[in-house]
Amino acid sequence: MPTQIERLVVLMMENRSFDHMLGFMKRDNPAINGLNGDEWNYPASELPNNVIVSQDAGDVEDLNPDPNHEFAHVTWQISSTGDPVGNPDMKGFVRDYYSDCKDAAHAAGIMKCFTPETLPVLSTLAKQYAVCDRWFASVPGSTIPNRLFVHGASSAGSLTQDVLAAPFALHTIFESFDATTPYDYAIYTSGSSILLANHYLIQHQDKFRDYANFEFDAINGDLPAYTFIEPRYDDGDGLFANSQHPDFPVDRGESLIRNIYNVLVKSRDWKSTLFLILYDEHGGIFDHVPPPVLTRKPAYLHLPDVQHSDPPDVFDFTRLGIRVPAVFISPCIPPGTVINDQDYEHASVVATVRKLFCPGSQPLNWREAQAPTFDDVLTLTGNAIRTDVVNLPDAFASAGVDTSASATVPVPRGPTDLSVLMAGAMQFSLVQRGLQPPGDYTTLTNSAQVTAFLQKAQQISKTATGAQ
Amino acid sequence: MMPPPRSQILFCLFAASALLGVSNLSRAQTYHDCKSLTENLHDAIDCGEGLFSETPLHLTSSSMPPGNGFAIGVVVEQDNHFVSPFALPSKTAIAPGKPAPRLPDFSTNGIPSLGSVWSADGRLAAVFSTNGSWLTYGALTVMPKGYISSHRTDHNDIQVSCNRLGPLCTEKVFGLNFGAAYRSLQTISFYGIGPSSPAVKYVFRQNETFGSFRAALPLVDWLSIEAGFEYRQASLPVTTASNSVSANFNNSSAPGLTSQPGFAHPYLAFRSDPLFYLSPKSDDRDLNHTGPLMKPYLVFTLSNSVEYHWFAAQGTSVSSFQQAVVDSDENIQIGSVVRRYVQVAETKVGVSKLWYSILAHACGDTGIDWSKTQDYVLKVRQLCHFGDVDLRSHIVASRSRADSQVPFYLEPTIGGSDIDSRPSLRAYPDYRFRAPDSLFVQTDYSVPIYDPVGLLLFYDAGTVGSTFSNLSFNQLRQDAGLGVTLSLQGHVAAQGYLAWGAGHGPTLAYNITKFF
Repeated sequence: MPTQIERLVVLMMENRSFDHMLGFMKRDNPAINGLNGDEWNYPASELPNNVIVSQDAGDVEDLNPDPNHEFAHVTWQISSTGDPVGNPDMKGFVRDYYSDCKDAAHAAGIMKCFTPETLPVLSTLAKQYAVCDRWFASVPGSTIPNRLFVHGASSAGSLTQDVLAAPFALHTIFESFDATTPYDYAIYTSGSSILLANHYLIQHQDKFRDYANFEFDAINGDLPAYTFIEPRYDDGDGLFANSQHPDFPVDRGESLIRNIYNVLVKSRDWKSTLFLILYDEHGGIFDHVPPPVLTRKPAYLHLPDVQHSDPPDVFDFTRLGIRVPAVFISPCIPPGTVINDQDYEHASVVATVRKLFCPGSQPLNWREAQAPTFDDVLTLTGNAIRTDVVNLPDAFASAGVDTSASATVPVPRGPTDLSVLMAGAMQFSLVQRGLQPPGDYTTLTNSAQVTAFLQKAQQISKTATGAQ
Repeated sequence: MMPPPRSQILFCLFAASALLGVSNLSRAQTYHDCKSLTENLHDAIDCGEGLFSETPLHLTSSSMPPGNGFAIGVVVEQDNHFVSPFALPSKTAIAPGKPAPRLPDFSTNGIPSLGSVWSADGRLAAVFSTNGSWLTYGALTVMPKGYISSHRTDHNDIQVSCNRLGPLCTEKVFGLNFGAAYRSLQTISFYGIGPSSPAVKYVFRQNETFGSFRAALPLVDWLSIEAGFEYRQASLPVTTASNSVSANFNNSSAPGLTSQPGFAHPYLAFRSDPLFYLSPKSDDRDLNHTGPLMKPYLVFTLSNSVEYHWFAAQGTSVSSFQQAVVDSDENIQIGSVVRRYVQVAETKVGVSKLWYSILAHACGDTGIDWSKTQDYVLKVRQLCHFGDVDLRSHIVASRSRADSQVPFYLEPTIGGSDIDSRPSLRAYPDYRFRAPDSLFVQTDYSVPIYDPVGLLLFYDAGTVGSTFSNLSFNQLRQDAGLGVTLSLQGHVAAQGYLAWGAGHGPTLAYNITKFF
């Protein structure tokens, strides 16, 4: 019987595919479904030769402009013929990126991958604990739908970033942490989270904690049963984005991962803690494994369906997105573990959290009910539980192939689309509740303004909640 | 022009607070709210706040020294850089639901730069008051781009981003600040000099011109060194009113009354604002149903400075003096962590139920169904917040040669609010006690009751003296009181209060924070 997970800490990073980050780990561990080095994609039309994966992914600049990863583009990435079910050849990434950047040579950069040497922190953890090479994004689409799935096994019908109503409307696993269960949860943010706009969480703002307090809380044994960590999505306040969203430096995210690990190993709850590192979606970057098609099992026909998306891209959410990195870290996991027994996806987090901390409550929909859980990954028990602590390398010194982007004091910059959309979703949510938003999100022109907007909106919500 | 009676201003302040307090709608802080100004009262309030906080252009009532009526003005400001050493100190909040006080965001798209060397923040302001007083202010902060982005590692092997300059690795960077101001003040109160001066109020007018240059270098995140040079020229126009200082005092009872030299004023300061947490380690389980209910969770932000000032009078030596200033503001956010769960069945009725209701509210949960006996009122590891305690002190010690005296208009004051709008002995009138040396300590407890309105409880004590050794506990004045605070974007912008201790019943007064 595996060790019971008493603390689950989930960190969800941004927009990187499995092969891009961990594919070349196959060199050291053939059990991993990674890269041989000869995987290829069709070239942009001006160039004659196919593009082969390479081991020279850089910290920054390979992926500027941001590769497409909306539903229609992901379809072409999965299938060079536009048939993701019948012909998922995974050979359309370069051509799709070329359609955006219009630079044939630069488009080939979508095939660049990291190696364990250039991505030392994540690779070391994957090697020393467990890597799952069959974890797929829940939606073959962009960030927000996938981030909604990790909380609600649904995107509330959203297939794109722009459905501002979806974050508000979504029913999440957090609603199951109600007054009937003794367990609690917390969401650590650096100011931004799509969850801030949710109809339920907007009235439970106390569950959002400042990431600046995470180190202190963890070491003092103050983390609740379920902790979800949001990375910093934008530069600002003298601090750097660490979400690893292209084209923010990857080494910042490596540092975040390293820090969370180093904190958790000092936590008093470490022996019963599972730290799970996920990426929300592939970000338009190459991966060689076709995503699975889902068939609703008869046993779950009685459960609610997930809300389908509206035209023009009507979708019933029966295909998963492209594979993303998933690393399981716990002293109850032996080194070198590879998890590939089932096709995990973001709804697996919802299902596992429910099984661990909200037993007896009903799944939100068939996607949750059908998602495999990972509550049994802590296979070491009793005296076999590890007491070692992995000495992680310094992310800053080793990961950055190109460190020039980090060589200046951060200055205000344009906000990422994601941040602005979070602000838009927050504005929508306030209006739905009859509250006056702190302005018009469409007028926000830099990341600092977005941060301030979200802070004000959160304060408005907090004030209103306190009054009700 | 006579200023409006204080009671009138207070009424307006409290009325605004009360309206915000009873509002079920919350406030916002942009001009956007003014589009629906006429729809209802709440929008009007939101619009009002937006007018006083939106950037880069907004109204202000700040920075007019007390006693000069109700001021209104315009500020144009642009803070492009979040690493300015001159920014107001920020602190980490216990929970993001209670955002950390911080400078309002004045960012815009552009980064004004002088070549490739500097990045700049700027502010221009003009404020006019009902009694004819006015001030103008301008400042420019420039910061070099020569810092290199780097990191350092803390005691838990946690990497923290910082900006590196040689051996220094800090969040904020070196900055230079250039400023200029002119203010014309129609009414400053004067009660004589010393701790026992009679409670007879005289007034004087004061015009002042300032030009300043400051440089600040963060040595570590919690400690910086600052040096600066200021030139200031004051003039005290003679008035013939029966209660004027010029009609009732002379140069020996009010040094500096007959002539006001220009002052060259260099200074050196060390400023520290470390932040740390306090909470015992514990390994309580989620299903823990016995033992202590709570453990403390305290966040300390300790802002302290030690300053040396030299005021060199130009053209005469009789007014030169030196001054040491020790200033502190120790803020403690009082929080706790729940260590065992509590179910509705345990809360019983009456006082017990009220107590748990208060706790549950402080710990974030609202809407508990008290009829369901097995439901959880408190869960293990919930974070709770019970308000802030501020312990402040301000000590000024002046020294001059035997043939020199500190001009009375440059002496520190305690009572009400001083010329920098700093509250001290709140039961006493503004500028009530004045002398070359002063000391005051105060304790504030504030808790948000309905943001932006908070409840304030306070205690003040202070005295003044002709020399530091004359600061006697025998002359110590004390008061205490309660009031409300009004915040704008996380900063207390104003407070209205009732204070007792001056020996004549309660004092009703207000203070508007000086932001520039």
